[in-house]
Amino acid sequence: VSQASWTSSLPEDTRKLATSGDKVLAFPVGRNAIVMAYNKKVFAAAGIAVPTTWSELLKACTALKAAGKTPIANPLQGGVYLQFWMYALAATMVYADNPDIDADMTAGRTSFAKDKGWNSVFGKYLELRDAGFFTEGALGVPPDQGLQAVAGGNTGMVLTVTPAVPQLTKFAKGGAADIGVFALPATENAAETRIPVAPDFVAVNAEGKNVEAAKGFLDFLAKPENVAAYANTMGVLPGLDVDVKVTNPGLEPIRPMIDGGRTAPYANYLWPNGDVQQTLLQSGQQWYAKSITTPQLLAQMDTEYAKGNP
Amino acid sequence: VTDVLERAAGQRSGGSPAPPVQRAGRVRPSTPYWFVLPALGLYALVVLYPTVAGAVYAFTDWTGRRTAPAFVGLDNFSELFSTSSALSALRNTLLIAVCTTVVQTVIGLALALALHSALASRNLLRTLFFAPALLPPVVMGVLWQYLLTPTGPLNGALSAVGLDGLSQNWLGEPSIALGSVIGVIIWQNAGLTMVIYLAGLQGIPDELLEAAEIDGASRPQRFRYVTLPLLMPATTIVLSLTLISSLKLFDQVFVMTGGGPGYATETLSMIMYKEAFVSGRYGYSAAIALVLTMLVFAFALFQLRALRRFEVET
Repeated sequence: VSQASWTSSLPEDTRKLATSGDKVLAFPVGRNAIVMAYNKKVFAAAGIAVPTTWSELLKACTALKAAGKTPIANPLQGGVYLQFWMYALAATMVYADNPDIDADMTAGRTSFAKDKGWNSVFGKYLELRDAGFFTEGALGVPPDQGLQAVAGGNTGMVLTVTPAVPQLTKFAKGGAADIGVFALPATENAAETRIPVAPDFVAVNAEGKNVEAAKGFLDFLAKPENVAAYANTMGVLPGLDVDVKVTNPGLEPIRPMIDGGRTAPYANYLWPNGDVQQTLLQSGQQWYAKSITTPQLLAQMDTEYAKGNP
Repeated sequence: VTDVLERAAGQRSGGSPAPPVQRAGRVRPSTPYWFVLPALGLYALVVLYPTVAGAVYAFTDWTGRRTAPAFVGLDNFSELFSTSSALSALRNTLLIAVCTTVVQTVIGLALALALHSALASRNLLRTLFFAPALLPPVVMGVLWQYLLTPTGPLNGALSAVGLDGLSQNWLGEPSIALGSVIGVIIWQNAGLTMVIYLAGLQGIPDELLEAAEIDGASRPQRFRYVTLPLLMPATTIVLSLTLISSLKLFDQVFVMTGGGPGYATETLSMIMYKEAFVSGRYGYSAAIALVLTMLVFAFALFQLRALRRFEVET
């Protein structure tokens, strides 16, 4: 679909994922982001403002703990929520400085174990775990219960994906008014914070019977009013960089960052195979339980990364 | 298993079924065989062909794409037996199979013996104990996942009766997660074992137990020398069904732990699924499936042959 007119509206974070060489291979119908969703009432009761730097986040967690709340829900059963932390921290600590790190990793110039940024990502996460800011017994808590803990006011915040925010607001007594979102800070400079974004793609089968009709349908979807209709109906971010008003209030706080291009792709979208992510999910649980160390986990991920694209 | 059931049915009706009568010199018509052909063809298409094709793919590097898979010999099998996570899954599978089979059989037999009595509430109790077996495994897994969370009802109940010390992170602590999964499976299926044993107990003639009693046999002796031997056909069925279902366990693990924490509850079926549908390594996944099939076949065959030696007829 390289010749389609909408390819000029591909957001930068999405262009990299939609292309192979100089060819555009797919149309992004919508985009998701990883955000910190928080309970506004809990924050207000503890006198906390939305943190914009790492040390502000630590202070907020300390204040929540002092108020008798669990600062951060970390529902690690299944491992899915563990990866959100790595992608969110890496957006700022890895991809902001070196957006082409995966080319370096593929060429063997660096690796998870060698890269300072990736080591810092895992180090930051451990900082929160060791300070006792996460849900107790996190490895036995399913995602659904993590969200309910935040909605119910026992826990302050949860790092999750934007499609989970509507579910979270449904759980909350006051609905959308109770839940807010912010980008996870990773450094002491708020302006450095990046937000991870990932599109959902639609592709056309080049060997299909109705290729032209399918391409025409993508052109139809690419009209600004249809980009808006899809995004607002699905509660996601618009897939194309066109002038669209997002009606999901949960996404409004992060729109300036998205529109300003302060984004990065989910890291796993750039990895060469699914086993790197699977290792992060499973060995990551062992790492969280202190059964293996950070260098061991990173070495395992490097082993899978080195296997390349199957 | 069907062989055992047939023989059990024969026993209950008071003897072996009569052999089919065949008149000498008469040629069997071939028409009936033609009627069987469509069913046989369908069976070959949906069972035999996929099974054989799956076994063939186990020796290839098939990734599920249209490109032709390459023959890799025994590479998939050597990877399976040399990867620590795969070996851990194999260990977990065998541990689940042995623990589930032994404990579930003992509990099922105990329940059957207790409820094969004149107890007024026996029908209600039988229904209650059997009820979990009627739940779909996935539904049951979701329920127990909730019950076993650190702040869930089980820990809440322990805390309420002053047993806080026994509270655990049942599914989140790697050292006890597998035990929790085994416990849940036994909880669900012990009722089914009980029903099979109850059927077996009802097939034991009262006169045999009475004769043993008149001969001076104590209650434990009557159980050991009369009841237990006559329950062996039921035991064969129970052990075979439990062993086979626990070796290929998937649903409950998938729902309750996803194989975690880490690799603590991963089974062969789980890695078979992940390798195929997460990693796209269909050839390797087929090799795991083949090993699992051979494992089930070997265990079931050994068990059936071993147990038949202990079976007696009334």
